[in-house]
Amino acid sequence: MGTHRRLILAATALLALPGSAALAQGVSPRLPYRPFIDPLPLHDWWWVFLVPLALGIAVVYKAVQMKDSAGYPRAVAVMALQIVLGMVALGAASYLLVAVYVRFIAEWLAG
Amino acid sequence: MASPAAPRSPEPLQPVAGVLGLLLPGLGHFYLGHTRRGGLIFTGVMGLFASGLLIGGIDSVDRREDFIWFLGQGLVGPTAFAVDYTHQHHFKVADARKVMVDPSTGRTVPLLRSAGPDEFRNPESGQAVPIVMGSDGVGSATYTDRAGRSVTVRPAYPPNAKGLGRMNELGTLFTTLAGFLNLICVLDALWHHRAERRGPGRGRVGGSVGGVGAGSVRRTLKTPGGFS
Repeated sequence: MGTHRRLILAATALLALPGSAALAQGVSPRLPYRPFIDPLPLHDWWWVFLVPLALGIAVVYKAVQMKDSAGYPRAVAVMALQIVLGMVALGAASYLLVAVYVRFIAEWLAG
Repeated sequence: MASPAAPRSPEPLQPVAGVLGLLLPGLGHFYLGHTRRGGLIFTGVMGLFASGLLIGGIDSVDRREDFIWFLGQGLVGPTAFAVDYTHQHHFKVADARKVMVDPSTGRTVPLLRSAGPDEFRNPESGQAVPIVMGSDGVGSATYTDRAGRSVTVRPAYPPNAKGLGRMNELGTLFTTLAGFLNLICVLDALWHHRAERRGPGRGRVGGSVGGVGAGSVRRTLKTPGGFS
């Protein structure tokens, strides 16, 4: 195993410590993981990537929108948090709509 | 009584900055003298794009299979086109059983598709070559090179793993969002004052969105609170 691959696997394993079985499944001996070429074998941990996504959006948006750099890191952190919380709230609302409200309507219509 | 605020001059159109921003994220702002802002834009946009490739693999950028998404990814600039070119010409395999019309030449050519998990890519012709598993669990592939010689590769792997499920969705989302964020930055650079230098005895000027009267001086603002 090359040093390059070992470093990448160590970094990804940090995210996958509780689900290391999933990591082991993804990196099969037939197809070694190649960064930037193969997808990360972290399918069960997809939601973790919401954080860097929100952070990236906040870094660019605040760089364009803010008039000066005073308080830039704080503004980025606050916006990233707002995005993450907003996504969590949307997910919860979608769950309530489908699992509670639609179910209630369906049962009500069925009599 | 406070004196009325000085009228702001209209934002000048900066076509060169817009084009530079399309070539490389942040370069437009850098050209206007807003080096720090440009650096942050470059870090954010290219960081998102690289993260998308890391998460979803090179299959996240595919002009043929995910054209609608590529419309957004392409806004990152030549980087996205280079990644797509590499994907199409160095990772996809030519399927001799299916054909497609090449839009650039109008000729019928073998269909380019992602290699299956049991297919090797002939590095010369791009044709798919089946991987034969040995008794020791190591695959090998045999192809014919341009000179007509038989070449066996062992161990043989597919050129890349096809992105599926959440990882592919996330990779595509990251790279597409990077493109749309760069569009915002390009539009901002198109109508943006150049950064001004602080003169002796003056307050902070320029170095911000819509700084006033910053027409001719294109130098980096070093004001502590500025955003150049």
